[in-house]
Amino acid sequence: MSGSFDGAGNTLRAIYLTFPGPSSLRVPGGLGLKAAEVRVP
Amino acid sequence: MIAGLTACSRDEAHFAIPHYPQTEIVLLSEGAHIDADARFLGPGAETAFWQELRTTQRHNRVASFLKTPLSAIVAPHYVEAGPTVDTLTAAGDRDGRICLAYLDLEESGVARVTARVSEDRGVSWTEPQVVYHEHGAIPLLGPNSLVPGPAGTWYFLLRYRLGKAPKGSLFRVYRRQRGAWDLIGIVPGTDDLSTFDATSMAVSDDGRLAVAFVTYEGRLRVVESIDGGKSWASLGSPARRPVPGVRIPILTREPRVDDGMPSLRAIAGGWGLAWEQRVLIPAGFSNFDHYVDTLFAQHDRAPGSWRRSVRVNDRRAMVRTTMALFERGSMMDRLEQMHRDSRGAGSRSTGTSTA
Repeated sequence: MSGSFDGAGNTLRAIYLTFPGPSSLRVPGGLGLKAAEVRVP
Repeated sequence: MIAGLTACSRDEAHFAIPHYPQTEIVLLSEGAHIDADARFLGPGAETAFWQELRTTQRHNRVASFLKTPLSAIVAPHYVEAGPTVDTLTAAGDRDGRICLAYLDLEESGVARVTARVSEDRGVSWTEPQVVYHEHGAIPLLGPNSLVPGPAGTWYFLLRYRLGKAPKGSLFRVYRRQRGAWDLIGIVPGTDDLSTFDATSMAVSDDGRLAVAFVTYEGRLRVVESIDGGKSWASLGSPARRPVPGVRIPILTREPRVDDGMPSLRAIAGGWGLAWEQRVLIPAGFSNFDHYVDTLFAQHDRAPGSWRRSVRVNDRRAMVRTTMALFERGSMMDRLEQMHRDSRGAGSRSTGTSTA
């Protein structure tokens, strides 16, 4: 997982791998990738 | 930091974070590589970067760039890297430029690092430029290989794998200035570099360079150049802090402490450094305790010393270096030993050190 704040410092952006199941590490197609933005007041 | 932002409740170290408006998008529903090097680039995280492996055409690697905000419906920009590309990485500077570098390892034995620069957040790119080219060598390209410098310059840290390079030249530093890449220096004093651990380079606004790496013995080392990479001097490393944890007289032995994963940044008046320490407390024939701490320190230019070392320890984090553990099989141990032998460094000491 990696993340950073935007220039104004009020939005947190994160990018991370997703694991659909406990055995997904052994399944070639098992890993996904998502990005998210969270507004912080 | 999260606690301060969210006024969280704490219950046995579990944090309840209030709900805030969130946008979440799927970049890849499946097929992501565990070492996708997915990051945000730029000072305000303006561009998401990740690498994909296209399986339809001989496993071509693809660099992907997506503008933020993520709520805007836009498609990523892709840069195809070709079938012989082994690794690629990217970095962004404060003015929105992006540099993309990739390492080709051809069947003929040629290793080549090529780079492109985008002035518009990954929409258009300069023609590929060869940064490094050599026959019979195996360099490494990692997430910390590319660093933006002042006024549109870029720095590239080439690191050789195993004992292929002549002694004293495991690190080479290249710079892109006025549209051309040049070799500007070789970092000395790296023959006892651990081939497992991360290396980090940083560049200050006034053109100083610094490289942090870890030795076979698990000791952190930082070197600095004040003349743009031509000559280098050691900055040593932060003093080791006492290792916390329970000891049982007679039963437990002195802790084994290994530094790792250095991350170096330029700060006002010096360098900021974050790294981890893996602590192992042996007892008899097994381990009494085993945990990973995170440490921070800064190097002040004026007195020329390290200060403000901070250890973050909760003794519950057993594993932080997931990738290192994946790679650290018996084969990698043998390769590391070959590397040490080739550089005349001998076996790794089992001795310990704390503060």
